[in-house]
Amino acid sequence: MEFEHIGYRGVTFKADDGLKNAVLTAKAWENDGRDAVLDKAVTLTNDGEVGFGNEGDRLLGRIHQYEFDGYVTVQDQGYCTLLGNETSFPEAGDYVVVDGNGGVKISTSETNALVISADTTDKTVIVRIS
Amino acid sequence: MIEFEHIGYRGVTFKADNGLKTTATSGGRNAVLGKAVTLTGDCEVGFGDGGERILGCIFQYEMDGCVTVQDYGYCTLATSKITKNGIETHEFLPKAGDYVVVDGDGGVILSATIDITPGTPGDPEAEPPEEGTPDEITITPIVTNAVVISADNDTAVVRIS
Repeated sequence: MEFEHIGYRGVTFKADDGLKNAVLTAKAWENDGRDAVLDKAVTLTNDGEVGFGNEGDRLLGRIHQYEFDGYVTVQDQGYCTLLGNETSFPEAGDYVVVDGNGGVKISTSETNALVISADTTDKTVIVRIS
Repeated sequence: MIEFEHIGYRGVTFKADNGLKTTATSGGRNAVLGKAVTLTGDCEVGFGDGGERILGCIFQYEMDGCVTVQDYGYCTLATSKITKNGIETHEFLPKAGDYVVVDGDGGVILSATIDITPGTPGDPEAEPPEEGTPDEITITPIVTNAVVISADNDTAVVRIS
């Protein structure tokens, strides 16, 4: 079933140094390096600023677009597809948090992000962010 | 009465679980429309078990086994009381400001932990007769994604987020 972008809301944040470095590092071997951060799970890391954060941090949303002036558009509400952490891969009904590497992992308590569907082949999960 | 119905409505299609299909097959669409559901499987919804988090309210049921669920905004749902230690009082019915979860039967119940300290019986034989003390009921809310905005004895307007 297709859930992608249902209830999408895009919000602009500043990218933290970790995100900027990820793009710069990838730029050496990719077209523009954006793919290192697009569609990745982020958390609030500072005032008006987002990044991959630390394992277990609350999910803020998924990076929809990265601009080279250091701003990112984050989908912070609705349904989206995210990478599931391989060592803590969620299944439908699990609540998730960020894994600190742009993916999500199982949370031991209820969060704002509920897994609706999981694809063990692609290692992705569809998450409802509220 | 203020009208909240469908404010912030968002409809999302899911698969109906076997319980929902059985209910819809035997009772028709009206047996499931407007009922509270939870996620019961991968991409799948159903009435679930009492106490589970609400995903939304069934807006439409298709006979191919797909349902449109309102998973966001305001909707009206049936309410039921929690029974604890055999006690079922009006206090256990959701009211404005309370958080709710599914009751496993298409409605919602109060989301809370309930502690009951039994009272003491009186002694009608004493002179003068002694009065007992009532049960002491402590209700501690458990925050969920669904808060009651308005309620009567049978239904509640719930804001789902």
